[in-house]
Amino acid sequence: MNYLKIAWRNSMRNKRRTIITASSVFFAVFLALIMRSMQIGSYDNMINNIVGAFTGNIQIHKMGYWDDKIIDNSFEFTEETKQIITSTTHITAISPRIESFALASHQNKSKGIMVAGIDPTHENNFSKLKDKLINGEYLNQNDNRVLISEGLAQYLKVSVNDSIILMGQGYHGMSAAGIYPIAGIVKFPSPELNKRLVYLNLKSMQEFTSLDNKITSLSIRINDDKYQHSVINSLKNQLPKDQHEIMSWQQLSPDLSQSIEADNASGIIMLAVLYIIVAFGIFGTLLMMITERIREFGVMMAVGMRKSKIAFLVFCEIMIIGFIGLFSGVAISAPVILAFFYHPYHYKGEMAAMMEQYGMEPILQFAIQPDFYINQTITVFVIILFLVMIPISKILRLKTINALRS
Amino acid sequence: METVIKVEKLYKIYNETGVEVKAINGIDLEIKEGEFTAIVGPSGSGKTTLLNMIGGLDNPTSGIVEVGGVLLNEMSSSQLIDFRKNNIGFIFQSYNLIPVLTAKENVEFVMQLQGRSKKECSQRAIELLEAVGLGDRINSRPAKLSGGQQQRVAVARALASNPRFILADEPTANLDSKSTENLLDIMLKLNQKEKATFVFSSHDQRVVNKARRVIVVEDGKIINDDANN
Repeated sequence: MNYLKIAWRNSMRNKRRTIITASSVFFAVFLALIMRSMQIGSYDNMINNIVGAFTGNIQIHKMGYWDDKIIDNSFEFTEETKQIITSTTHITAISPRIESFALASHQNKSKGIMVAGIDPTHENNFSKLKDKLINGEYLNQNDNRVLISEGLAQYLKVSVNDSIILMGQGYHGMSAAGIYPIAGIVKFPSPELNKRLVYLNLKSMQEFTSLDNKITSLSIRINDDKYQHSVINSLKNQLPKDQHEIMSWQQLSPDLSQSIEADNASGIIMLAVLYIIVAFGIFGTLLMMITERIREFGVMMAVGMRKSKIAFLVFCEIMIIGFIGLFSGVAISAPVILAFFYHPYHYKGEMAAMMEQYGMEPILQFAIQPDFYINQTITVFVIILFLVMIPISKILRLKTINALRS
Repeated sequence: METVIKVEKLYKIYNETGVEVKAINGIDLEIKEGEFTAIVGPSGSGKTTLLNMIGGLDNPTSGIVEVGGVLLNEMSSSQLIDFRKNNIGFIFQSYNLIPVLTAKENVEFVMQLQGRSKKECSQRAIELLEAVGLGDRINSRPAKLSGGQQQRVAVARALASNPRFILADEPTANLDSKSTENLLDIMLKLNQKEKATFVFSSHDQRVVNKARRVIVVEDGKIINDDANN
């Protein structure tokens, strides 16, 4: 017997009801995918803005540096250490840095800033810093000039070829001071970085802070954040014990990590509420669909169709309706997600200002991840499967005579 | 002729509202193979309940129902369904065809449940629909057929599985006189051709006139049976 043919015809018997039920599934899938894509996209964006642009997925410091961020807590970046790190699986880029704080001034303006000594080539491989250049030129290996973030340049009222004075503290309490011409201006999506960052060539920074061949941090990028723990463990095993602290970006930016976790949890609760509402909607229509056909089931049993076969037929019908909703939800959400993934919406006006105030890039970024497509589809499918059990149990409990009398 | 339906001391008592109602009140009955029997009586006399119990659709409160040598009382719900599939054809008052299937598919449905081949199902369905005068409507769905035509499809469906027994509950109740006449002629012809035992309930005098044996039921008891006269 062709159950699918009968199930299909039964599904199309009351087109309006089928459309309503399939629409419930469609909206559940569509909204879940859009909401989740938007959330994960915004997390990815936040992580990329911080992790990709600066901290990296993992950082290595001298033991104790993170609790006491002074220039004295620096370590020698030997060729041997470099070899160990670059040969570790999943590591795609490294950037040795000296990170310190200084006072930047130009004419009568001054501001406390973060100054980073970088190897221009490594840094560009690491964070694509060159792409963030909006004015001037990128640093070369022996440059004694600086790159300044856009927000800071605006504050100090400086442009390319102007000079800024940096004053800070060097190794063992030595005073550090220097005047540096501006080679270029870089713009960061993260407002926090954009208003207080200056890049120097690593050699210039080592001279500025009197650190010979030492660095304060080594930032590491890996090809996927899911390998973070295995990379950290591998580095811990390979590097000399008790000399280095190896930290994840979650430890380096706990505020970001926690806010993502909290937002993610609220997103999951929202999804659960959405699923519950939709499930009740589908349940109502399914129940109606079954109740009004009890007599028909009675006739089927009377002529010799087993209840299990009737239940299977109804299962097929509900699956057909479910799959219509499921696939249309996936199909229609896909172009929307793709459009916002490749062309994120840039907030304007007050909304943009408010987001920047909270340290976020004012854009609406979507994410494309096969796993959330699979997860949401499976979740909705499981809900449908669960709902199917109710009419099926009703059918299995039917008595022929009662069904015929209904 | 061999006795194929045997009912002994049959009782069906309903007690749903606290008031005891004896729908069947001690019926003893024997029907022989190939009989064309009408169970008649006024509404509420118990004829449909009796037919339901002979067909294994309902369980008696007490008593024995033996159909084709098998005690229906001792069968589980699944066994009864299988028994009906292979031995009993039903014709209902309100046709009860499956609305999404065409006339031919409705007739094939029962045979497919029996696991017969597609070719065999198709051939027999066409043959039966032609026999009931619906050879030109095999691809019509029930909604496109008149009441009389639907009931003829139901007759073809009832015969499709080559059952030994055809049970019909007021098969002509919703039909006009011409359709009733037509249907009864078809049923009589098929009774002779297919050798199935026909038992039907009715309070329609035209049906009673065509029956070879008439059993009169009132208040859950047989008050007259042609076989005893």
